[in-house]
Parts: sequence; structure tokens; C-alpha cells
Amino acid sequence: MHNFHDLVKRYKRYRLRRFLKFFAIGVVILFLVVGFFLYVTQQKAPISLVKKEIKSSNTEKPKIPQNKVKVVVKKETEIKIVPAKKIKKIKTDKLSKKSLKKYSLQFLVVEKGNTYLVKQRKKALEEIGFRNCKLTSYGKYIYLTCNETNNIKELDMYIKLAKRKKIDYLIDTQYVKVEVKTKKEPDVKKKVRKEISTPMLKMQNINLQQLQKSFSQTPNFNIALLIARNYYTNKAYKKAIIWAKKANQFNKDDADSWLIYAKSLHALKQNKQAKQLLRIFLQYEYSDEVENLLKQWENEQ
Amino acid sequence: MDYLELAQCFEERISSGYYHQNSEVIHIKNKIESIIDNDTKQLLFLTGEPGVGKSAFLNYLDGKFSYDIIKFDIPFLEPIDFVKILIKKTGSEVDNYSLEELIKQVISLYKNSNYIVVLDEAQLLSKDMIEIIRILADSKAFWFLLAMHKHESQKILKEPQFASRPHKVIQLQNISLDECKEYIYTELEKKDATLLANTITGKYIKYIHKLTQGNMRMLKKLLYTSFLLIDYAQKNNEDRYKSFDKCILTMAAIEIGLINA
Repeated sequence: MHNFHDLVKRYKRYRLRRFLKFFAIGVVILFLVVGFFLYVTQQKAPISLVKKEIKSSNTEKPKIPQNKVKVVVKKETEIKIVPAKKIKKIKTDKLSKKSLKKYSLQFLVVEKGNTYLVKQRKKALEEIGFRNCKLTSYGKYIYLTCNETNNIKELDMYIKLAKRKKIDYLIDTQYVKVEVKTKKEPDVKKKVRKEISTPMLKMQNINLQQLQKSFSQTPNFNIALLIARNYYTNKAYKKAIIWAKKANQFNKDDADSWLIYAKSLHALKQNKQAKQLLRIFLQYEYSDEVENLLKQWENEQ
Repeated sequence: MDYLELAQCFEERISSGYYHQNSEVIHIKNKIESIIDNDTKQLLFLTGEPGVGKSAFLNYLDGKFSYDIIKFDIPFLEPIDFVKILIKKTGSEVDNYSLEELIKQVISLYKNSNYIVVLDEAQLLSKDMIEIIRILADSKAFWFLLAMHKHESQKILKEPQFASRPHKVIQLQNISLDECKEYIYTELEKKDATLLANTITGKYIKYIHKLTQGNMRMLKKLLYTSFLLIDYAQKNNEDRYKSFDKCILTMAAIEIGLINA
């Protein structure tokens, strides 16, 4: 055994190599496990809002800011929307009378740190046709909402769009405090009513040309209605009628387009047609505003 | 404990006196015996991996059957020499120098006798030798037992002269874990090394079997080298390597080439 010491060296080298091999395999497995874990957690990060709603009885709810209220409950394919009246009943007790409701479609709630992902989703939603998408940060979470509006019915066509594209969503209701300058109650009510009836886009002073351009690119109910409303406030009643009709082609159930149409006719002193128009609408749909306006006009006579 | 003496008991030996009869060997022996007793004279092929113990098995067969065994260990034979040897084994004189006449003579000499002609390393036989074996086997004067490596046997058995003739293939397998354990313990007990046998626990047996894959030649070589290493360590005060353990087995495996290090 003259090569005993050489053999010992070879044995030690072999042991070391074997150790390094197993160590490397261990490290690779560890990396894979950690990588897989991170991947899974990242995949879970963009919480599907609707699924979260279903599981809400069993799982922990994300912290939602106090002034946000979820309205939609989705069970597999069925979607139930709580009527607007009910929401009023529930909320008016808890919240100040001096607040204004804003509705929007909420698509995503993610933890902070996934901003890039949310921005990508925002871009994708805008490309599909959703408007005014924005990111709002509350506490640990970032919320992605689109189509903020004062009128819940204005969301109908976007809800249909979301359903068609199979995108999970919920209707987000937000209460915005209205600054009251005078202490008189009637003035506050007036202000609130004014705020409700004013659409988001109008507040941003988008000019008519821009609106018409964007309508030609993506024709939809909201833009047509905005243009009609704009013409109506500028007393261009005939053009308002044309755009109200266009809006009506997209959504016949929405009272706003009918109202602008009728008001424009009324302004053009075609009272009979205006009233007939509102009556036709009331045969199919119910609207406080339409009914009140019709009563008001009938009383005027 | 004299580890040098223990090493010697695992040395490769040809003598049948040292042959370890495990269950596989007994099974193969019984199988051959059954064929010889019940079938007509024909070719028998004993195949197996190199080192599985084919040569040792052939040596072990001598005297185990009612038939006499004529064994040829050297495969590089000329057909004429092969026939002459067979004639001389009977005590007869070679009458003629023509191969054809010699074949006739050898067939007539062995026709009513009970002989098994055993050829080791048959995969090395020349084509002429194979042809002579085929002619002699056809004469039904002999049993032929040809031992060859498993890999080469597959090619030889596909040759038309064998494929078309009655023959039997018997395969000698590598030993199992239990047979490996039984062999090591038996050999150690023969040398009164029961204490050492008790220290060779199941995990060492498993490691030995894993390293050697149950190949008898490698198993003997591994144990032989292991005991030599311990012997060297004891004589040179290498304290770390004085006892039988996994370290010694790994070193021995490196030494004999079972582990590439």
C-alpha cells in the first residue's frame, strides 16, 4: 500500500466534491422553493375582488377605507346589483347628510409594492375602453378604479363591457364631503343636487371638440351624453337633441338622455312632444327625476 | 485481528474448494441437471455479466453431475487441436490427420458416453471453432456448455447456426443484498472473525452492494482491498483508518475504480 496517502487525498477530494455537489443541489432546491413561493404570492397579490367578496365570510377582509362601500356581490356568473334606493337607506343613517356620492368601477386591490402591475392593468383597461382610470392609495393597499361618476346608471355600459371582457369588478361608492359655505340647509341641498347632476368630465372642462373627437374614436353612451349636456347648457338645443338621440342609441334605459332630449324640446317650446317623450319613458322605466319634471310641466299649464 | 489474513480469504481463487454456494448458484445447478436428465443432447449457454462468477461456477460443477466434464479454459483453440484433445481424453490414439476423419472418430468414441464439454469465454471462439461445435452438437454425442458474457451472447445466439438449433440459455445473475450479506458473514466466520462480522451492519452491507451492484468479482475485490488498507493503517499507526467503516470502503472503492475520484 505504497499509495495509501495518495488514496487518502483522493478520498478527501471525493468527499469534498460530493459535499459541494449536494450543497449545490440543496441551494438550487432552496432557490426553486423560494422562487416558487414568491411567484405564488405575487400571483395572489392582485386580489380578485369578486372572489374576495364571495369568501368574505371565511377569510380576512382587506382594510377598506371607511368611506368606501362595496355594492356588487358576484356568485360565479350571476351578478346582483343592490338597487340605488337601498344603498341610500343603508348609508344615509351612517354618513353625514353633507356628502356627495360618487360611483366607480373598482377592478383591483393590491398591496403596495405591486405598482408596476397595477399600472399595467390600468393601461390595459384604458385600452379596452374604460375611462378616467386612476390609482388611489389607502393604507396598505392601492385601488384601481375607473369611470368615476355621480350617476350609477352611467356605469351600466361599462359594467356590460366588463362582463363581455370577463373582467372582475365591483361598484365602488364613495362619499365626498361637500364644503358648505352658508349654514342654511336649503342651500346645502341645492349644492348637493348640483354636484350630483354634474358629470365628472364636465368638471374637468373638456371642450366639445375634444369630446367629439374622442366619440369618433370610441363611440359610447357617456361621451354622447356629455356632449348633449354641454350643448344643452350652452342653449344649443337642436344639437343637444341630436347628441341625446346618439346617446340613446347606446343605452335606451338611461333617463339622462331622455331628459336632455325632453328639456331641449321644452326649451324649443315643443312642450307637447317633450311631455309625450317623458311619458313614453315612464311606461318602460321608473325615474323620480323624470316623473317630477313631468309633474312640474303639467302643473305649469 | 489479522486483517491481512482476512484479505486473503476474499482473494480471487479458481479452485472450486473456495466456491461460495449461494441460492442463485444452487438454482442454476439444479436447472442444468434437470435439462441434462430430461432433454436430448444439445447446446447450453451460460451467460452473465463479467465477474458474476461464471468461471467459478464451471469449476464448481466438476463432480456435481453423473456426467463427466471436459473443460476448456483457453478459447483460442484450433478446431483440429480441439478434436484431438477430445480423442486423447478417451485414451485413444489419433488415427488420422484429416479433420473430417477426426470428427468421425471423435463422434464414434463419444456416441454412447456421458460427457459434458464445457468451454469458458466462448464469446472469444473463432468461427471455425463454432462450426466444429455445431457439427459435434448435431451428432448428439456430447452436451456442450458454453459460458460467455451476456452482451456478446446476444449477438452469437442470433447467428443462424445456433438460432435454428435446439439450445437452452441459462443466465447467471448478480447476487442479491441478502446473498451479499450471507457471503461476507460466511467468509468472516470461516476465519473466526465473528466480532468483525457483527460490526459490519446492514448499512455497510447496503453500501457494499450498492458499490458492487452484486457483482461477485467486484465484491471480493472491494473487501480484499478494504482489509488490506486496514492492515496497512494498523501497521503504520494511521489511527483514523484502523477500523472497518464507510470511509475505508469508499477508499477501497476509489482504489479499485468503482468510484471515480
